[in-house]
Parts: sequence; C-alpha cells; structure tokens
Amino acid sequence: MNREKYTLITGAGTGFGKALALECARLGHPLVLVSLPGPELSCLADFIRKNHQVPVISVETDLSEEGNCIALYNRIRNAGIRINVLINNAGIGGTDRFEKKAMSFYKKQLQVNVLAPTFLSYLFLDELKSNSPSHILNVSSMAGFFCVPQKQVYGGSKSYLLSFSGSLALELKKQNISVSVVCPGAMNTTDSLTWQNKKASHILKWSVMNPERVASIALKKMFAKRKVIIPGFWNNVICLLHRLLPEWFRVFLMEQQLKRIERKQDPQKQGLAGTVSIAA
Amino acid sequence: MKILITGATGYLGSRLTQRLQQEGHVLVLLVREPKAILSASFANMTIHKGDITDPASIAKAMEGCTHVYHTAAVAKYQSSGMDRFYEVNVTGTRNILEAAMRFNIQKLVFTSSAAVFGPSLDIPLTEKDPRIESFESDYDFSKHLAGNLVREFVQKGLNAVIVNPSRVFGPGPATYSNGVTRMIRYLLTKKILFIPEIGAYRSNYSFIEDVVDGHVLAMQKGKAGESYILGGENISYAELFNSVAGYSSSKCRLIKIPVDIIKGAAHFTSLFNRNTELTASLITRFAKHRMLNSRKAISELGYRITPFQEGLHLTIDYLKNYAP
Repeated sequence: MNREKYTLITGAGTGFGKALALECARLGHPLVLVSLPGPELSCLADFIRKNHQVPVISVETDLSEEGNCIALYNRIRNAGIRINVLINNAGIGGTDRFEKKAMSFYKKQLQVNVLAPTFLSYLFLDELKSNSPSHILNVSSMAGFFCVPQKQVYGGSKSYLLSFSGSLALELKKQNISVSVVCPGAMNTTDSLTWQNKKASHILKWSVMNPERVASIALKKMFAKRKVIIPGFWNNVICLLHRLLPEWFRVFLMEQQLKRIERKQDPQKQGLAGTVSIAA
Repeated sequence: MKILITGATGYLGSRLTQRLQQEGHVLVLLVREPKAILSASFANMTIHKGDITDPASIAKAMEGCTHVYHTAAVAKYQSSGMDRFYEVNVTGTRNILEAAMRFNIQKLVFTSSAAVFGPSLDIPLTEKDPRIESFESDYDFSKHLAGNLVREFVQKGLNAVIVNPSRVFGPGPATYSNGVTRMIRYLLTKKILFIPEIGAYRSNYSFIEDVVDGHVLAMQKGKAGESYILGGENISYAELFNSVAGYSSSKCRLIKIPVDIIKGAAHFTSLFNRNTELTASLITRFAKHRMLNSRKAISELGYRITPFQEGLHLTIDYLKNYAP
C-alpha cells in the first residue's frame, strides 16, 4: 500500500481545477483528480505523470449526484489511499437573468456548488483527521462577497461556501485540519471567459488573473492555514473599497454594472463578440 | 481537382503554391493584393482579388473548387489592433468554413500554429497534452478559437484537418512569419545583436519544405477533425545562435541582457509606441521551453523532419546568395 498522502481536487479537468492540479503536481503532491467524464482529465493525468513523476488517480464522475460523492469516497477508501488535502473546486457558473434558466439548472448548480463540497467534507472528515495535519480548500468567488448582478444563485452558493468554511474552520482547528476558502475574481479559465475578460473595461481588466497564478497563491496560503484567501492586488483593493463605501454607493455601482451587462446581452450590439462566443 | 489557397502571398502560402503548381494542380488564389504574388509562373492559376473577411469574394473564388488550403491569417504580434486578429483569424476562418460547406468542398486543410499548445515543461508536447498556461497572445488565442470552429464544422460534416507548424524557417523572404530567417539575416549583416538571456530554453523549429510537405500530406491522409503538429528539432537558443554563428562565420557580437531588463524596456517603449514589436509578453514567450513532438504527423501522415543543421545551412546559403 502506498503510504504517501494524496491531494483530492474536484473539477480538475479544466479551468481553475486544472491549474490547481498542475501546481500541486509541481509541488510534488500525489493526486486524486475528479472531473466530469470527458477526454480532458485523462490527458491531464498523463501529462502530470510524465512531467512531474507524481502518482495520479483520475476519477470521472458527476458530483451533482449524492450517490456519486459517496461512491467516490468508498472507492478512495477501498483503494487504501490516504487523503490529507481536500480541494472542493468543482462548480457551475453562469451569468443570466434569474427567469432565463430552468429550475433544473439551479438545482444542479446548488448540488455541485453547495451540496458536493458539504458532503465531501463530511465523508472525508475522519480520513483528514487521521492523516493530519490536513487541509480543506473551498473555492468560492469574489461574487460570494457582493451582490453581483445576474449571479443570484451562483453568488448565493459562493456565499454559502464562505460561511461554511469559516464555521468549519473553528470546529476543526483542534484536530489540526485547516479550512481555507479562496475567492478569485475574474479569471481566464474558459475560452468564453477569456474573451469576455479581453473585452472588459479597463478597471475590470486590471483585476483579471490567470488561473495558474491564482492557484499558486491559493495553495501557498492554504498551507499557511489562511482562512480567507483573496488573490491579487486589485481584488484586495475592491474588497477594501467594498468595506469602506456606503451602502447606497455600492448599490449604485452594481446597478451600473447591471446596465452594462444588459447592453452586452443585446444581440444587435454583439458583433464580433457573438462570433467568438459561438467559437468558444 | 481544383484547389483554392488563401494566404498565398505569405511565406508558407507562397511556398505551398509553388509546390502545388509544380505538381501540376489547377489553382485558385484568393489574395488581397495580386501584385504581392511571388510565383514565377502563372500557369494553371486563377487569381481572385478579395479578402477572407468578405464572404462575397470568398464565394466567387471558391465556386467550382474541390479542395481548400486555408493559410491566410494575421500573424504579426503587436499590442495594438487586437480586433484585427479576431476579425481575420476567427471570423475570416468562419467565412471560409461556411463557404466550404456551401460549395461541398471535399477536403480542407487549415493552417493553425503550434503556439496554440503553449509552452512545455521538460518533455516535448503532443497534440493531446493540456495547455499549462492561459492564453496571453491574441494571435495564439485567435488561432485556438479558429481551430475550435474547424472542429465544430467537422461535427456538421465538413472534411477538415488542422495542421500546427512550429517556428518555421528556411529560404525565402525574411517576413514576420519567418522570424528565425530574419534573425539569421540580422546575424549575417549586423555587427551587434542584443539577445535576452534565455540560452537554455528549447524551442521547436520546422523547416519550410517539411511544413509544405506536411500540408500536402495532411490533404492526402489527414483525418477529419484531427490536429497534426508539423515540427522539427527542439533546439536551445544557445545552440541556435551558435549554429548560425558557426556556419555563417558571422562577425556579429551577441550581447546578453537579463530578461527583466528587457521586460522593463518593453513596458517603457510601449508607453510611446503602440506599434512596437517589443512587448513584455513577447519576451515572456521566449523565456520558456516550447518543445514539441511531431510523432503523430510522422506515423499517421508520413511527415519527415529535415535535420536542423541541414535546414539551417540551406537557409544561410540562400541568404548569402540572394539577399543583401
């Protein structure tokens, strides 16, 4: 049996999860990578095995199903793999008017963003205790702090992770398990987000970060047991302003932001952006 | 068989045109500037003045064709005018693909770039490896999006193949997309060259004739929706400079400058000159391994790699004989 301790990352096939996996591999951590079925995960796992010489176990499963969370736990336990870092990264994003999406979409979004991290933390708790010092890292968002327009359910699910992580951190401190939550702002993860970020207004553009940079900051601070991790200078400035500005002014800014989003959603004004978003 | 070529006035496009002409094919060229065509002979060749951003001009050129080589693209890296990359490289490619569907083109070869695969670590990348860094350059990102479009059209039934040449070099005009040749010419003619201190990083250099062959092979044998790296040997910058200096007996002195100083200078220059070729992100591109593995093209297409030294000698001889 392998006595090395593994890091488990959900949503590891693409985007920020992929960046976290690559950074963990660079730091030499054996990995359990979990992702939706698709070719990305096995390609990433092969790449990491070849280039970083760390063991990688890849599991393709849909964490929106409670049963799959349990099956993942059983599979890891039965294989005798010891986990001491759990990174709940899998999530479903989305920016749209509330009425535009079906209830089934919101159900799935809450299952992946809220229930899966809750269940996995619960299932792996004894494992983390017996392998301590251990770490849990939940991936929230800047949208967990503010009421970002057209991110009602997403923002709510990310606020949950902030609150959940903070409370759990208090409980688990004695067992030598740190609980951190990272709140990235805009990142160049998917093609369509990279395109949007390129087209964003100047101030927003400053705050855009590449996932590989955010991953390196997040992991460093997770190992340092930082509770709330806000990556990047501009995101910290935005958070500070958020605390200092009066309520009415924050609402005014968000209303302006909503107007900008709605202007962009006007199909007549999409032009090239429309072409590329289809390509992406 | 009647073949449409876009980008026939570019470095690769002009070489491909010559090759297909020698093989006796009937060619149609879609060009913005007919005067820029470098061919010595115009036998079996129809020239259409047009632009891939103008669907009407594409339709006129493509009607009656059976095969398409789509090599046209904006390739020049610069900080300003990013929209032009997307207009030509993405929307232009979409226009070509839509026309190819409409005119029942039997097969299309799209010239992407190995830049879409990004930097490597210590092992050369294959087509399957994930990108380990986000897209910084608009050129790379636009070529990536265009490749997605090609795959999307393959799903709709188009028979299209993607080829990804690495850094192409060889005899011929030292244009922007022939950067290595430009560097060689510089070493041959100038007394002093400032280079970033990145000697240990390895990149992949493909010889023009191999890449042209690779295009023809991809048209013959490439599988729809697949990408093929058309590369060469993985060479460090130090080996590259030394090889050029060694063979050409160049008297150019190389002065190495730390990367951070160059980046600072690039930021400074970009404050005053929006069209500068020296951008900080460009320097960062060079301070990494960019090694590639062409195994897939070799085994599936029969692609062949000319040894780097041989290609380099042919290039240097050409520059000494034909270029000032």
